[in-house]
Amino acid sequence: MRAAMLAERIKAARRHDLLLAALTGLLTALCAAVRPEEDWQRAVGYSALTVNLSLMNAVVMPLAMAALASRLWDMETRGSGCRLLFTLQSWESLFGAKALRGLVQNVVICLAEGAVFLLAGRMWGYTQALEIPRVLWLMLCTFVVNAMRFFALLALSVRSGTQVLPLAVGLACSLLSVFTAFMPERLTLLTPWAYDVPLSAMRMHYDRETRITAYEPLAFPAGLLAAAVVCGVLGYVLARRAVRDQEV
Amino acid sequence: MDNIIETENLTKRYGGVPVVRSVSLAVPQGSVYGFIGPNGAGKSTTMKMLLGLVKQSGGSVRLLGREMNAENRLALLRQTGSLIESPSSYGHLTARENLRIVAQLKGVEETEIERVLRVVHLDQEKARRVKAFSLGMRQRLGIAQALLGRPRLLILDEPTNGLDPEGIREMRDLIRSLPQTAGATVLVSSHLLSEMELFVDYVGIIDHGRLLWQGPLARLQAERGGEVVVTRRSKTLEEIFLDLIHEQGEEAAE
Repeated sequence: MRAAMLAERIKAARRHDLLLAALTGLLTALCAAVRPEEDWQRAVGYSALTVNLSLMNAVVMPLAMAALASRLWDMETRGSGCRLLFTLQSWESLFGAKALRGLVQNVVICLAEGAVFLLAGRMWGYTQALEIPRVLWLMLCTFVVNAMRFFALLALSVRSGTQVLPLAVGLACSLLSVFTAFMPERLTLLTPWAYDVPLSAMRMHYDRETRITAYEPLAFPAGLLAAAVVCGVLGYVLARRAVRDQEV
Repeated sequence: MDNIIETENLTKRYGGVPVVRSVSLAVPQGSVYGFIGPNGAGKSTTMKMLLGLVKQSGGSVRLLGREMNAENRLALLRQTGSLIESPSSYGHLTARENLRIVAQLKGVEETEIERVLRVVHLDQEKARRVKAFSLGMRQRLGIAQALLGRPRLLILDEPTNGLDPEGIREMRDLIRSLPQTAGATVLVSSHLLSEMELFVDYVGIIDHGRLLWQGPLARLQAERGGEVVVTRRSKTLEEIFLDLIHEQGEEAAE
């Protein structure tokens, strides 16, 4: 497995995958961050960032994960890599190395988003106390939901042998995710690729008269996170089988 | 002479349709064995089965004196180099980086890379990205990948495909020299029969998935070479091959 990981690292040369992952996380979170103009906005800065970021993740990450998964596999498709690799390593080690590489990039995305919480508070002077457990929860949920999206799209990428299909599916999921924020809560459970929103554990209430948004922290939905983990495991199995069934 | 590859009744069926039928190959150690047949004869499928890339429907494979199975397959293939159909490479990487991947997976010292680059005359191009390579250069890189780790056996499927005449000549010289320079046995397939007879010393002729004949090229020419009446020259391998296929067709019709 070590040799497979090192080989994967050589393959990643000049592709700047980790940098792109960090930029994706940073830009997504910075777009979600509130630049407060009034005191009440400073007082709910982190809560607002939590809600906005979960929605941004639901919209941006399906496409980002499609790009990540298809870039990782596309190099094998273009270069007929499997024909050579399967004479040098087991399909399990190839899949394992790809999976680990994808998960490392996912970790980088989550860390970059977590860093924005610290950054935004200092830059824009949020007066709200930063609740570290909530930030860690959000990072964990983002990681799990991203892993689910990554494996499902990796499976699609391997099966289709093209970048177009996973990117199209990623784009479609991104567009559908826009509506999940406005769906009844139960309906959002049917859209696992957009679980970021119900997993955020933060509810938003907008008062039309005062034009003030209030945020209500909720208990961490551990059951929903478990459901996301199950979906992620399913995606993992699908992707693993897709690599196993690769015709060379 | 010991056989480095032996198959017994190797068979492959796709959806019930046989594409390789009871092929029993015997490739002697130290030889350049030409596996010849028209397109679609079953050469590539047979070679893929030798490498375990395609699961056989029946029969067995002995490689380097050992029966190949799921447990020992990768260990046996570490002593084998292969180039199947078209070379596998990563266009965004340089030739050297491509070889580093193979060296890493084969557990070969990276100093080997310089040696194989020299063997295939790519040492001046090692820092260039492969996407800028011509097809001939990619084929040579594929051979270099196969040569890493000083394998005892090389399995090369149509290595001259898509090459210009100069490239074909270079590849021919390289393959012919491998038993001496690398101590390797070479199993090479092609449908270019006139080309093959210039550098192989054993042949196996396959058509419609059946092995029609195998043995030393000299014996094939002695047994079946005869003479072409008009020009009074010996028959070429291509002519012998066409005779064999014709006979096979007549037998099948009867």
